[in-house]
Amino acid sequence: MESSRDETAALIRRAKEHDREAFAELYRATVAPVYRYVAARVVRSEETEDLTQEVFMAALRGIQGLRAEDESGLMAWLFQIARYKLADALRRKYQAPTEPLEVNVEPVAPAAGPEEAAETLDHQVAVRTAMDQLTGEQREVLICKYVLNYDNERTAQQVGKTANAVNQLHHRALRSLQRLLVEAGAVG
Amino acid sequence: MELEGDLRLMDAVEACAQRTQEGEALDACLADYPAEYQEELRRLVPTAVNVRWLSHDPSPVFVDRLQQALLGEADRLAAEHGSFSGWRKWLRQAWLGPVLRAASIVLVLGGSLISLGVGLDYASADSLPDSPLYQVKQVREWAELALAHDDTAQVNANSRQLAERRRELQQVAAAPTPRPAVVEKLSNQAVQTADRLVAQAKAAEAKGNTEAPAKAAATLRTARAAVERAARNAPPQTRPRLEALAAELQQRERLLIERAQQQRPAVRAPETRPTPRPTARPTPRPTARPTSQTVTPRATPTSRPI
Repeated sequence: MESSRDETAALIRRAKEHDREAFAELYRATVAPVYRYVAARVVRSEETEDLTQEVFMAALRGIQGLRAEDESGLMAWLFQIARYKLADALRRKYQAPTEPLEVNVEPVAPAAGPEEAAETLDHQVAVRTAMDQLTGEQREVLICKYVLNYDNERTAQQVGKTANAVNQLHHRALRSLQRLLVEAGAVG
Repeated sequence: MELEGDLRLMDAVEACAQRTQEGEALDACLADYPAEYQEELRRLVPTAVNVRWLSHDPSPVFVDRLQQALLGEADRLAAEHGSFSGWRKWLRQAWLGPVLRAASIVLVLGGSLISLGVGLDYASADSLPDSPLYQVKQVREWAELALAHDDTAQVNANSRQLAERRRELQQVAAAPTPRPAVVEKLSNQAVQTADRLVAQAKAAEAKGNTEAPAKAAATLRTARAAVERAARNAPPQTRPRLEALAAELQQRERLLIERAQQQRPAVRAPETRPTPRPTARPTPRPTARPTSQTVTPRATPTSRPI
């Protein structure tokens, strides 16, 4: 999001007054990180799109309740909505598992052939499964660092910790994830 | 591992993950860092790269499609709230005016105080002397007396208060639990009110107002009768005081009646004019009407030919 703090605040104020263009601008500035945040947690791209749409629809209906006036606060609010939506989706899945959780139809890394593509997909499923076994804070730090490309300060704002605490969390999270992947046989 | 080392290590992990994802060999990246970190980096960098692979951007088609859906929903919400938005904007602008803001605060505070006062007064209507709200009722009655501007108004105010004491006494006397202290207090107040009523009625009468004493006497009579009835049904603990009160009220009622009788002009016997020329056959018709209150019906013919 390139706009300055004042511009973001003005856009938020206008969006609260049902200015469609202001909301559209906020959407265009935030849709990519929200999509990446959701994609890091769910397997299927259709599900990622559905959840991203749910997040922005909820944001549109609930923007009157947004207190933040800067980009950082806006993103924290959107990620909070995304977390709720992800939790709801997981709950729905476990209550009515109509399809296998491991289905993955989105090859992310370029693959030379079908076998390699399948191997890549399996690997991504293993990584997401291992991520789900981390603590919430550890998972948030890894997503901020490697999915959203946030620096330490921004990550600290997002998880509500100091930069030093974020570093320690970061280290522990990677170690835990590496151990889980070894246990799952996903890495050597 | 020390914190400082931890900071450097994680920076190295991030840098190597970036370089590896961009196609550089892991060993080439590790070679840039001290040997003491290389073993840990060799474990953590591939793990970090695995997380990086989870990240992918939305397709432009999806972004446009969702934007259209959001704009449609925004239009629907705006139409839904449209009828209110104009008012909301006007109110917000009005609220910003300092004069209007101060006036609003004064109005809200004043309204709250008035509401509180009205509410307290209403709540105190049925209170008795052993209730904290009774003081509110007393203040209201004091104000009512203070605002009574002439003798008639004073008599009316005292009459209302005496009637209220009578109602309270009936309420206490009818209660299953005897409350002698309350009866005593109410009786004393009733006597004080009756004294004020008599004094005001006399003052009004002295000024030629005959209506005020009549009203005062009627109020005293009604109060006395009610107290007598209450005394008959009251428990032994409160009956003597109620009987005494009835007697005191009767005494004041008599004061007014006697005074009224003293002030009334004496009824003179009608004068009989001397007949200047007595006739041989005096007429049997009486010259003066009898003073008796009984009215003799006029005789009607009973035997009338049909």
